[in-house]
Order: sequence, then structure tokens, then C-alpha cells
Amino acid sequence: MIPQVKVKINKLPTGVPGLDEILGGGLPDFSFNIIAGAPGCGKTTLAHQFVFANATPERPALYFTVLGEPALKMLRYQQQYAFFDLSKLNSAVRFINLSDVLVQRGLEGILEEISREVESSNPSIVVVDSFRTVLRRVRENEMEAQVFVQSLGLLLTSWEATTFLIGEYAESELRDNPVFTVSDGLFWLYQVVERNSVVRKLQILKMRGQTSVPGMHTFRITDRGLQAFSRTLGLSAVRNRKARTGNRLSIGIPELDEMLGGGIPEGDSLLVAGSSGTGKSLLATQFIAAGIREGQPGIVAVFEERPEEYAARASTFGLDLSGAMGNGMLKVIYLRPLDLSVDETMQEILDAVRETGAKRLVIDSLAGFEMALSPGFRADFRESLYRMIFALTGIGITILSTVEMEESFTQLLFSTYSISFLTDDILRLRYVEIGGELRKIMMVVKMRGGNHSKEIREYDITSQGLVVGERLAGFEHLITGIPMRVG
Amino acid sequence: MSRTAPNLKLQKLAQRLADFDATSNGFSGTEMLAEFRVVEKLSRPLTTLAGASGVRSLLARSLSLAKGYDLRLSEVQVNAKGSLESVGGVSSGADVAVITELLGLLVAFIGESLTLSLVLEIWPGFPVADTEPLKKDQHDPAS
Repeated sequence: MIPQVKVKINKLPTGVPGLDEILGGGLPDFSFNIIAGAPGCGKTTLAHQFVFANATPERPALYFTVLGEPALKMLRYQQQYAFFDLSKLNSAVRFINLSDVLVQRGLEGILEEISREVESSNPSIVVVDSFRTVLRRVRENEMEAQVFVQSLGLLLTSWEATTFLIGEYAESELRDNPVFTVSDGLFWLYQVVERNSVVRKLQILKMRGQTSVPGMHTFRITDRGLQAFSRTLGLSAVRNRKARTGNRLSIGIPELDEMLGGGIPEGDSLLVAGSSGTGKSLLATQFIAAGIREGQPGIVAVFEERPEEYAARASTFGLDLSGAMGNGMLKVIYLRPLDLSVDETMQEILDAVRETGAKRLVIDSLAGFEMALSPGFRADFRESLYRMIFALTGIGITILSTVEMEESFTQLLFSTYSISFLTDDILRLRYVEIGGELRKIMMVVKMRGGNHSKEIREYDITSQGLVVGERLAGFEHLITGIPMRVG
Repeated sequence: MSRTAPNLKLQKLAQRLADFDATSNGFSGTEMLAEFRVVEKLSRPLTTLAGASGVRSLLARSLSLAKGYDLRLSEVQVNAKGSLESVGGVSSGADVAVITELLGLLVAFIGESLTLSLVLEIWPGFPVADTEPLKKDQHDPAS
């Protein structure tokens, strides 16, 4: 009886943060992969990151350039990236230009040259960039192209090389293309301009031997190269969702804690909704400051002001955040506006959670967050926000988000985003007109985790922060903003 | 556009390379010049990176810049094979101007570190540590 032992496929790190998670753990070694997409979408940079992350002098990477960007220019531009290790060049990473070979000797010459180089260097990685230009030569002869791709695949797999063929393909070319048929992995990179913003996404259309995360994933190119954000970013941690502790976190205002039934349940998401000037941001700052006093690290994601401005504003209310920012108890994340994706925001927050061990998170505000997103991502804001809140509360973070409301004096709105279903708890702040004065009231509208005060209480903003007063007795229709005195 | 003076730091490096190559091969200066040995040696690995036509262009550009200030190169040209050849012969030391300009182009394209790595690969014993930083252009005597 022969034992049934399945072959174990090793997975290589891609060197692209976030991409291993999307691929299902990394790239299968000896796989034959295509990176496709339009010019300028990051194909070459992706291949370079993989090459520099894996190549060694003993098992080098061979990077063949063919009638595309010459290696000399590639070296000029790619060395600007942080991952580009100059010391690896010509030992672990070797660039070889095959343009002349293609022009003079055609596909046969290309195959001979690649074979010769592969046999003499025993590479672990082979890249052909651009492969599309290689096949253009035999555009009219599909069979010749198929035989070439087949032979190349066989050669490189036999020599235990993991391969990337890079090509500028359009999606319409996906059908009946021999290159895509032979490949084990197919990476498709997209770059879409929406209004004035660029949105980059990638999709793993095919990955033999392992399960990758389906769908479109956002990625960004910075001076560190590509960083990918899985569509399911953060959700893997939620599989081990923390059980509710039953603990309550103080919001930093005893009377409001009392209204909330003893504070915010740990791991809840609280939405503070109100119009401009009602003290939402101040309340959020008091929540964070209360956590710091109790030894609970916190994170504040702000979109409209820089960290030092945020700390300075807090200090005018007697809340010293600079000390906590200095000793790592508090991290204020200022997210550059206008072209963010929710995934990037979540990645920054998750990184900060890992770094600080945060228990509390403030998002100030959801309107600012939405404005900071690239227009292409705004359409998915609700869905993305749902995923983000679910993922973060799943690892035990208590979230306080603020949302700006347009004040209506005929009805009480909870949120312009229809996101109240996303939150466990809602606190509504609003103005009322009483006796020719504009006064402020608050009410707890919803507490998913239990009972709460039904009172409508007046509050004021003082130099000591938000101070909650007594129930406004003797009035009705308070929530309309134009109450009537009773009795 | 032609230059009227070489970059002095690059010129110094070029001269050191020419001397080092001659010494390590036991050639006299005249023999070395006749074959443009150093330029040929520098071009060889460049063919792998830029292809034969790419190297030919780099050599043509280097020669053109060098001719701008070294009249001894007036009869030198890049032949169809991508090598330098002289119709009427050239005086000793003129090849240094071409080496200077070729190194200058490489520094401009791929940077100083990669250029020196390339040099070390061709001449493993060459003391690159003695090389002054090449970034600052010394065409201007005030710099």
C-alpha cells in the first residue's frame, strides 16, 4: 500500500505588504505567472519587489527585458524605491536585455538565450518584461506563440524557477489567449482615474493550487513600492472574535456614563451625531482622555486637522494629550485627504492598534473620512465602513465615531449616512430654542447592549469640557428643536 | 550640445581606470589606446543591460561629448559593430576623454553606486574606495 502523501507547495513571500494575504499565503514556488495591465499601473514594480524579496546570489533572479523599457532605464527609475537593494545587483539580481536577440533571431533565439542563461545561473526567479512585445512578433501565427509559451513554461518549471511574464494586455484579450491558458497565476492590475483621483486595484484572476481572496483589492504605490489591501482586510482576525467582556468604558463625563447605563460597553461602536458646534469632537477627545487616565491606549483618526493642532485644541479644555502622544499611549493618525481608500485607513488603524495596544478608537469625523476618500471609493463607503467597524470591534476595540448632522427643526435625524445600523449605540446632540436662547440637549437614542437613560438632558460646553446638566423638565417637543413649555 | 571641459572627478577616475587596466594587463599606454581597451571592457556588460544598439548610442554620445574638448578624437568614430575605431590613429591618452564621458553618462542614468559596482565587476581589484564622490559636476572650476 503506497501512502497517500500530497505534494507540499511552498509559498514564497511576494515582498508586497498585503499581497501574501490576498494570495492565500504567498506565491507558489515554480509557478508560471502573468502580470497584466495597462501601462503605468505598476506591473514592473510588482515584479521587482518580488525579485528583491527572494533572490539570492546562490539562486539569483534573471530579469529579461525585451523591446520594452531598457534595463538601463529600468535601473535608473526602480532604484528610487526603498526595496531596491543596490548590493544585490549583478549577484542576486541580473538584468539581461534581449531586444537585439528578438529582432535578429526571433522567438527561437529568445528561447535559446533564456535557456542558456537559465542553465548557467540556476535562477530561482525569471522575469520577462515585456512578454507582450515578444509575442507581437508572431501575432499572425497563434500556433507558434502557443508552442513558444509552452516551451518556455516547461523550461522554467523544469529548472525550478518561479516565473513572471509581464504584459500590457486589455481585458478583452483574456479569452482564448494561449498565454493565459498556460499560466498558473494571473495578476491583473488596474488604474482608473475618477474625477481628479487615481484609484489602483488588483485582481487575482487565477491562482492554481491554492485559494486566493476573490474580487478587487486596492493597492497604492509609494516610495516603498506597492502595498496591497485585501478586500477582506482585518476580517480574518474576527474569526476569533473576542467574547464580550461586559466591561464598560467611561466616556469621561460621569453624568453621561450614567445615561449610557454605566459607560460604553467594551467592543461597542458608538455614533455621536450632531450639527456643527454641538461638541462632538470635544466629547470624543474626553473619551480618549478618560481612557488614557485609566491606562488604556487610544487612537484618534482625524481628517480635518493635524495631530499637533488636535492636541493644542484639547489643551484649551484642560486635556493634556501631548504627554500621551509622546509616551505612545495615544496615536493621532492624520490621514492625507482626497485620495484615500477605506482599506488604507483601516490598515493604518490596524498597524496603530498593534503598535499601541489601543483599546479605544475615535474617528472624527465620518464626514471628513468620506471627503478624504477618492471619489471612486465613496460609492462603497457604507459597505467599507461596515467592514471596518466589524473588524475593529471584533478585536475588542471600542469605537466612537462622530457624524455631522444637518439640523432640522421638524424631525430628528440620526445620521445622514443611514449608518445607524452599523453602530451599537447612538448619542444624539442637538440645539433647541428656549426662551430666545440657543441651548443644547443630548439623548441616548440606542444602546444595543442593554438599558439606558431615556432622559433628554441639557449640556453645556465649558473650559473644562462638556458638562451635562439636568433633565429638561417642563418642556415637550424638545427633539424637534422648538419645544413648548408645559404646565 | 558639446562640452568644453570634462568633469574633473570623472576624468580622474577615468585616468585611474586606464592606468589600472594597463598595469594589470602589462600593456603600454600606446597599446592600450590603440584598442580602446577600457571603453570596450566597460561596454561589454552594458550590452547585457542596454542591448547592442543601446551601447552603440551610449558610445556615440560619449564620443561626441569627448570630441567637444579633446581634438585628438576628431578621427575616431563608432563603427557598425558598436566599437570605437580611428581612421588616422589617435594620440596617447585621448581615450580617457571617452571613458570620462561614458562614466558620466552611466552616473547620470543609473547613479554613482551602480556605476562603481559595474566598474568593480570588470576590474575586481580596482580601489573604488579611493574614488571621490562623483555627483558634483566639476565643469565649473568654482565648484
